[in-house]
Amino acid sequence: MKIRGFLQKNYLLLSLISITIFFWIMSEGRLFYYGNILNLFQQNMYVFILASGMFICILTGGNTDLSCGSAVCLIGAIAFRMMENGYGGFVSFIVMLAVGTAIGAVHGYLIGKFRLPSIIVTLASMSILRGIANLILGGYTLSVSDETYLRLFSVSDGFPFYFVFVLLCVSAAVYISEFAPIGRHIYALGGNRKAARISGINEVRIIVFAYIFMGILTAISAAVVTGRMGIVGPSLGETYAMDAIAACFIGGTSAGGGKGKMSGVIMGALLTGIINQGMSILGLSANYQNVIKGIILVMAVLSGYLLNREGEKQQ
Amino acid sequence: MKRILKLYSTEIVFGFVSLLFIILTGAEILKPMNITAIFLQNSYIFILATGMAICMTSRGNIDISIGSFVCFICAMGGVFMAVMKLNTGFTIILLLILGLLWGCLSGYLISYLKIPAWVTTLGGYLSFRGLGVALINTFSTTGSIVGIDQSFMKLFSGKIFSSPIDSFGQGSLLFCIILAVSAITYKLYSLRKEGSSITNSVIFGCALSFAVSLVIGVSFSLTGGVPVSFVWMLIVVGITQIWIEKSAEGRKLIMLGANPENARIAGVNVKRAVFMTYIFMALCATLTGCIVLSRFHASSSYAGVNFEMDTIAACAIGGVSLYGGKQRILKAILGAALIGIINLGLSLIGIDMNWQWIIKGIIIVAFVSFDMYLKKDRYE
Repeated sequence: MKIRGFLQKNYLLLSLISITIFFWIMSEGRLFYYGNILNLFQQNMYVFILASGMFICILTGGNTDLSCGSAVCLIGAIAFRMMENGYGGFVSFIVMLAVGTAIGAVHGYLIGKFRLPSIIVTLASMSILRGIANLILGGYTLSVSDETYLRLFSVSDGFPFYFVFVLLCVSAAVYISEFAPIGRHIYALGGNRKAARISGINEVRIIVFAYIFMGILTAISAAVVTGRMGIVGPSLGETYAMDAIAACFIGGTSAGGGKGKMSGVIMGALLTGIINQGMSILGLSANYQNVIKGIILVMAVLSGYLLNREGEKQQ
Repeated sequence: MKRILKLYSTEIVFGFVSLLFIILTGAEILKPMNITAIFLQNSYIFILATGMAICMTSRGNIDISIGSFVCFICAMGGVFMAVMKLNTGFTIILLLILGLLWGCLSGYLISYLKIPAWVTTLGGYLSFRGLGVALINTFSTTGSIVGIDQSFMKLFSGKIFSSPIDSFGQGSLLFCIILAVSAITYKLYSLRKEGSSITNSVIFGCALSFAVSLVIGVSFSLTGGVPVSFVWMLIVVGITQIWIEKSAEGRKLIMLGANPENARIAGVNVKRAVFMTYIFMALCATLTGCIVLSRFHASSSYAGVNFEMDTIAACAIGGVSLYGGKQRILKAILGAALIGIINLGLSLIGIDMNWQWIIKGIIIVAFVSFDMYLKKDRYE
């Protein structure tokens, strides 16, 4: 079956094109206005960054991070409070990275060393981090006026610095998954845990690495998002984890780990961005957006599963 | 020492934390009104924890969609009764059908199509919250649909053996005593049937549970009757406990959790068993939705927020293993009671919501780590 083979290889590209056309027609061409395309990238930078980190986590064997949205809020809140108290933008950024690394290390250690299920750990830390963030914010929305910070993370000088950060994160994930030795180990661990352990791969080290990577990326996306908006509110990042997970699954990452490509994740993130953007242009309320995202999430995993099963049957 | 910790970790922690809250609140928490409130305000955790314990028993499956599903059921109940003017019986049937449908769908996706439980239920978590809030916003401008049937409210949030608040209603106390006596008789009877001797610890346990039910009974008597949600909780817990201990299906479920490969070889239909647990979970969530709906007197978009956290925390405290294979429904119930005490205690002390989130998160991580520590040798 040639058609099926073609579908199997290119279903991602095909769905990207068809969904783009769908929203293009539904929005009467507004999707491709210059401003909207710029918005698409600006508003969904976090999807690209977080999906890169989430991809590495899922690859290690279906481990996930539900807490990254809350972590973005917490890290942003810490940075803004620091700048409010007179610390520089650069120092704050270093602290953000440190906090992100620490959160990632704790996650990685609990999940890798103690073998706790990632879903429980990150669900718990989702509520812990959100709670701490709200305590720091005290229910208020903070804004930032630090020159360095804004120059680093927003478009003030005409050159979009934040774009460099997105590119950096995505290429780091590409490098890890495609070229670095540890990437091979990650794939091996996700593909067959027992075999990987017997062949001498240090499981704890890899999972801790994956979560620290995720933590650093969470910090960077916090910087980029808060820099662009200039504010941190109590509800910042509530949907981020879902978007990142959806991007990974749409991109063909296996939910059990060990399978998937960064190229697919980039496409998945793009698709998530277009869906977000398209639904906003169409004026759908956040509630319906959530419904559709939830359905897409399950559908993406389901279609990946069905296509793979067909492929195995043919062989 | 490790053995005692292993056997009685839930009870020990329960004792310590309740003592802590009794001291912190200056015994305020022991007032009859507050003891009743533990059951009134937190009945949802008890019912959901039973369902979740069953889900987890079958090889560590989990359901994080329950909070959102409760919201959805509330919204649908409001739409059926207040907007479409259906009567109570018909509404309940429709809601049960909805629960059954979601149970079938999620169960099918998870057990037959092998989509990881967390992905499926994450989809449900997003969709049902969105759908519920969207429904409420469509049919009302105030964020809640009012106009729930009186008979519906009586069925899910009324009181039985009701008596005036300021007098002592003997009916409630009698009800609790009869329940405790019959539960203890049942326990002793089944022990004798198994041929095990009645040790001191069994007698101590029976005496303790009798004392506790006496306290609960007195509290109910002084606060105007037994809440119906308490009765619902007893029904769900009782049936589930007897079913999982005595029936062949229940034993199969435990076996499946302990070792899926062995269970499969022994002829357990693994897929069907997992499928059934999700139907059960969805039905528990539906019942919870009904109780929450009638407690709020309206379908509110805040119904069910963070229920999944409380439920998972209750199961974690109860030592329901996330790798399956242990039947600890009663301990999960104890865990649910502890979460209830924590909820009530923290609000009595006047600590704000954010701290509650932090404390609950830490509780979950601590208990799951502890559980893994105790069983380290088993999984190495």
